[in-house]
Amino acid sequence: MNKKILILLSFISAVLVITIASPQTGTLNPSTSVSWAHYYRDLKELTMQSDIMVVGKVVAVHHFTDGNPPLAFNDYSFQVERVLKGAVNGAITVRQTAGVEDDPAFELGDRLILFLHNCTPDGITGVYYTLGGPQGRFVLDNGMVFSVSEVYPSINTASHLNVYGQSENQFIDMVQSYLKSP
Amino acid sequence: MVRVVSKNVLCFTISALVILNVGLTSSYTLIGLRWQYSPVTYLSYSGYTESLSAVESWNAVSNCKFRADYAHAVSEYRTYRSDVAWDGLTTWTGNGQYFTSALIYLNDYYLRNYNSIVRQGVIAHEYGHVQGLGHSVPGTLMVAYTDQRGSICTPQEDDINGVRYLYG
Repeated sequence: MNKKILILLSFISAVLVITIASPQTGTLNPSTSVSWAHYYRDLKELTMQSDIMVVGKVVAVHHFTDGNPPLAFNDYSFQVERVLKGAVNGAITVRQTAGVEDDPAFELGDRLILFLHNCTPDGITGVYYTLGGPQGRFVLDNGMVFSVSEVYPSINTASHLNVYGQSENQFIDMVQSYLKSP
Repeated sequence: MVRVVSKNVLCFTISALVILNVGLTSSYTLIGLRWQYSPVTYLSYSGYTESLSAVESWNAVSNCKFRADYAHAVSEYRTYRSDVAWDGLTTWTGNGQYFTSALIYLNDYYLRNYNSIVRQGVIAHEYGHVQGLGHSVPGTLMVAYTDQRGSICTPQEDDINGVRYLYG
């Protein structure tokens, strides 16, 4: 009886070890991975480093390729509802490299809070990109804020800023407080 | 009875330690493809002198070797893009569970401002994707962010565990 228990325990242990030791294997799509240049340690750094911070909605997307060999991009038309930092009016263009494994495509109708870099000083007029790729994007759902890593749990979250279900007002108050006392 | 309980406790303790140890030391992820053959031919069009060191750092630890060849499956290019947040990008094609080709883009907008060690780290990171590795945790070559990678420019223990899982 005791031997049986020991054998059973050993079997359970072996199963657990194999399960935990097995690496996480992603899907075959998307088929692009990147090295992000800058890591933002917290929301305060993200706030301070962004050129503009906006709340709004994804209203259109334009897919295109550029470069040689060509790379695929998505240009999103983002209707700004509220500006938290900087000065913009109406719709802006947010550029994303397409198909990157830990930066899922924006979805039409998504309400988002975006921390953006303005490409204009580099000669690309009216185009922005999110700081740190997925780090600079937060999804709004029923008045609550979620980081990309919480909305898309399959992506690698080791380096992300995790925000789960914080109220929109509380989140905005917090980032605005960073602007008042940097 | 006491002896049996002790055995059970010992069994649980050893299992827990093994599980904890494996959990702590295995952080690598896989993109879902591997190369069916070795060596994998590549060619660097980027002109970065650090490319050779990056490739050799993988050849030193992986059974999937890279070999420079004009007829190549992996191409490495230099690009200049100020409209993206990435300094290196790898895109690939596959057939079932195997790679068929890969393209590496090195973004000179960022890389020109890095020192040689950091530049090598970015290039080696991209060749890590070509090996079949996804992103991992800080302290590894395969961490997603160059800021966090710092001066790591060669495969670390966790990265090596990943390619040994793939290629033995």
